Amino acid sequence: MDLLIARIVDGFNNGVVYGFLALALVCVYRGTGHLNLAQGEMAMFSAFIAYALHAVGFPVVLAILGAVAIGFIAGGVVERVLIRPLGHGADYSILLVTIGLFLVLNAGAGVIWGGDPLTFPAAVPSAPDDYISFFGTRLRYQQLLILAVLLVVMTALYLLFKYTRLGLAMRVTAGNPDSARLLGMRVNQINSLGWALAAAVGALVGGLISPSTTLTTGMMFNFLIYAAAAATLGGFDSPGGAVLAGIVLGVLENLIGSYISWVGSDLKQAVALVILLGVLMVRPTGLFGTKKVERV
Amino acid sequence: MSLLRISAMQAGYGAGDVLHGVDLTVEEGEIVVVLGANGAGKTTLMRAVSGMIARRGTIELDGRSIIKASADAIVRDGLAQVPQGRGTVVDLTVEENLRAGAHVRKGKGLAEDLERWYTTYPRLAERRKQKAGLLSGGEQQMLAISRAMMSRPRLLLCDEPSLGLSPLLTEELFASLRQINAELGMSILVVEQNAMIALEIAARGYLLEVGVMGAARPAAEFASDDSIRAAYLGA
Repeated sequence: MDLLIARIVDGFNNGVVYGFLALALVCVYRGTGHLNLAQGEMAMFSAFIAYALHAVGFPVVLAILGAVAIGFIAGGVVERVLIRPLGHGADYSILLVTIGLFLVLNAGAGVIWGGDPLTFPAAVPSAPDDYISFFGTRLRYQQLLILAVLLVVMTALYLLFKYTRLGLAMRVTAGNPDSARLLGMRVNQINSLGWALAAAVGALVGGLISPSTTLTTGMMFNFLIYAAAAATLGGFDSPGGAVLAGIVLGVLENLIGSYISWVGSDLKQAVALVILLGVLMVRPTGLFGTKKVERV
Repeated sequence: MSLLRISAMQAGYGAGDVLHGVDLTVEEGEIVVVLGANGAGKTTLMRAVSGMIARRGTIELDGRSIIKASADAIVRDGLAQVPQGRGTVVDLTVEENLRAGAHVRKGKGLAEDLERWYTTYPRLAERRKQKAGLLSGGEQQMLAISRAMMSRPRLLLCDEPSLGLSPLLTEELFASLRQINAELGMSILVVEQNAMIALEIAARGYLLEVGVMGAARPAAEFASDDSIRAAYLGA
């Protein structure tokens, strides 16, 4: 029983990270209609920036917040310089550019910070005995912090999209850019803002998880696959759905990997994709996504 | 001074001009209709005025040039367009679409305006929480007009509002445009293929033929012109 709980908690902790990064994907999608495959690498790069800020003397929390601020600005610049020139409706070109950005950031981080894993301290005490006992398993402060920040960011995004003038403008811009312009919305600025917000969320993920994963250029690669799966499962336009799907994915993946011996840890990733495929066959818009409805 | 004055305007889509020197005016509180067959350049005219495509020449809104203004700035200057095909955001609710229409507005009165358009189009009120994509064509057109009006424009542009609607719904829709004009003194420029019904509510009309704009004439004169009748009124 204790082992089961421990496995659920482990999976849950992974799932929180999937869901967190999925939030960043949802941000870009909701604000612009784009899918950013470089989201994970942007988060990774931001984690290195937090590391660099810490190395020059900033306290951990300030280093993370600094990386978030830099990420926010960089996200807006990426939209302005790499995405906007492609023009409206260039979805496939945008997807390819994000793959290019992925490669550049990955290689760039390797050139600047080297290939060896670095360590970045946690924002909360993380000595071996810094945990809360929970049915015989350990909830580490670090993991609780990630969960708490995730819930705050998720709620903030939900409120932004649902109840603010800006959030509404972002959804209109993503749904129908031409209409957005005809309603007086500054579509370019709104697109930039969507990218900036997503990059900031990604930077937060990077800075928060790097103490537990160690800081390497490959740290986000797996997470991005799961995050994309979570965002797809949750429905790309639903912050709450993406987070919940991320957690469900993390827990299921860990349980199946632990209890079905031939799956083990080797096939764990495939499990996530099988779940994804299964859900999409039944519900093409994901579990919580809004169906594109149109009567003609 | 005319509310909208267009003079020697040329516009197109890059490969060449679709409109060759358009002259047109809309007076304050007036409904003006531009008639034309398929491919005459009606939608190009609308998109040129609202800044959605490149254009040259003169366009003045209330005496101020808007030829260099961007589409979003033109909306803030008081010109709202109902695009062809309605342009509703299908996965937003009816009410969210209407609120989006008020994007450029500062200040209060949003709730009152919502009520106002729900009163004008009660069918929208019944469906305020539904996704706009679930509305019928007629309801979407009502939504598109209300949404444009939510910006409290000085001039409303309507691009082919009858498109895809039954004759009965078209009748109803034009009646509501007339009502908006009468009650709010709203100036309206409408381009329409369905000439007969558009001329009924308009004060003046223009005929656009493959990119060339004819002279303005009173709507009644249009309706009784035999050659127009033959070409556009199907009689």
